[in-house]
Amino acid sequence: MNKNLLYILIFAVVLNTSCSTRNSVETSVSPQHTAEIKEAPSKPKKHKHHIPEGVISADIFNDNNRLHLLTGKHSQGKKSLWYQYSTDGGKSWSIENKILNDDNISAKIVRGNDAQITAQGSNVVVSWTKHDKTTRFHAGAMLAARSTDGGETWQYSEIPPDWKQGPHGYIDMTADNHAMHAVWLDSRNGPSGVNASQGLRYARSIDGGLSWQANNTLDKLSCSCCWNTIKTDTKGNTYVLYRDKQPSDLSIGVIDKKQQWQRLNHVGAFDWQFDGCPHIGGGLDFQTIAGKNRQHAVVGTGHPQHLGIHYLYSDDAGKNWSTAKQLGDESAIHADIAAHDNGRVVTVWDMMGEDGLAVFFAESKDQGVHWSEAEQISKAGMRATHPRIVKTKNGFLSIWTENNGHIQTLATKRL
Amino acid sequence: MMKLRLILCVVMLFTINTVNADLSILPFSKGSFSDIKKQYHNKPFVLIFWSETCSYCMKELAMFGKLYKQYPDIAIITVATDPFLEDEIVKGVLNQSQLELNQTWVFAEQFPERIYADINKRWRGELPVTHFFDGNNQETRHLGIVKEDELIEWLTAQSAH
Repeated sequence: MNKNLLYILIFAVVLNTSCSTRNSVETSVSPQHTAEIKEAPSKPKKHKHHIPEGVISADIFNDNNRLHLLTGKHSQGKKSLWYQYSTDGGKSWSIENKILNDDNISAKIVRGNDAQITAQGSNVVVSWTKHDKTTRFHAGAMLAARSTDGGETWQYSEIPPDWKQGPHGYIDMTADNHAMHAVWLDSRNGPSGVNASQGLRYARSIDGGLSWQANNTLDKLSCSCCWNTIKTDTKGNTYVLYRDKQPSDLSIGVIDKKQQWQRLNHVGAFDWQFDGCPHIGGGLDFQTIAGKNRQHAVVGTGHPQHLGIHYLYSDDAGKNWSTAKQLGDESAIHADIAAHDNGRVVTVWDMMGEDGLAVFFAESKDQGVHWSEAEQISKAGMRATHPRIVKTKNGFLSIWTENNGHIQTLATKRL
Repeated sequence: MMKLRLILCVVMLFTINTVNADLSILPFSKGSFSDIKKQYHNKPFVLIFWSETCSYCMKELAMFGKLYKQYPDIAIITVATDPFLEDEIVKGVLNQSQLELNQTWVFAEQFPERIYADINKRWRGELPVTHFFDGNNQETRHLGIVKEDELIEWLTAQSAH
């Protein structure tokens, strides 16, 4: 057959196919439905971007009563990371410092998958997921930046993952006197056979974030879309709270001083069977009173019989956990917790208020035995979400983001 | 002649990539759920909520893309829950899922939880979530990815009526 004729025939087939596929199932409905489609409302004026303007990421870390604050901001399509510190428990803050002096950093950051910060003395390290247009969810490899002068100047630095290609997400970092520690999710082992699972990975740095040691896989099968929490106790043990799979309850494990990992238990054994994306993690903190150690946790679940957030404690280093105590109502989603050695434990969370999501807190003065009623701490008329909390020298500091419909800002409250 | 072949190739490629060019993207806000239910009263349809960040959702959309043409009497309605998600992203996702629809919806409120609560007071945004409506307006809500065999069973049962 003449080659040109062949090309024309192929073209005709393709053109015909694409035209016929535009007849969707909806054309088979009644004329009334067709009329309704024609009268469908015109689109309202869209925001240029579906990412809010203002603060889109927030993390805070307490290193020996110096609070290190990292915010991510979005302005007309461009993202930037900002650093501040406070030495008075959040009463006052240093001037904001733009990390890497970059107005247009490549970042895929949202509340719930925030950029992360940790510090050891004058070494401060931040990490985040790069924005990558070529990947399916635009999530790329981890990026990191480091300051060796207490946050004044910054350079790109080595990232914790030794599997460099990524994507890497849902990072958390912490530090103690011995090391910096990082956890994150990635799929270096390829498909696991379980829908949308990823592996939970860990690495540590013993030179202030300059380099990171070989990675450990803590759990090959974890939720692929929930934030992780890593915390160290005073004995050199590193605990990780993360959402597991099958069931989708939170699990806790420990990396001991010999760098051995042990998964300890579920924190809140609700047996939630969920093949989907909760986007909910938990919070963890430690308390020591009269030589007795207690771990405090707050976990979120979507189990239909236990919908909401729950407080639990452990007196045997995470091996066994108390009965779950629900805080707030069924709409409570994102929560965090902090505990002081004076007996105070404070939990913060967001749940539906009169104007939409708002931030609430509750306090226990007796190591988690009794709890106050929930009290709203975010402003009325604002949408407030994803609270975080750290203990300070004399109390606690909570941070969250508030949105008035036009701009999203960072809010703080000392408790 | 070489030029003609080149032109034909370019036009073919352009045509293939614009399968969803006529896609109408509608704003989904408080009240839209009720409107859609009224629109499809006494007709079987499936309402699928998804997000660009939800890998389960992509898998589920692809499953629907594979099956829906076999059940032309059942309407498939997709709703992106990322507020004001860009058209290019919406079209890209539907193209990738092989869903060739006339219209789709995108959340059009800054604060999505207001829409969640309007649809179901117990929904906090977990995804995917799929609402099945049979020809008698009976609703079944499924949280998490739908199993393919269960989906085929439901679609077949609706088609038989």
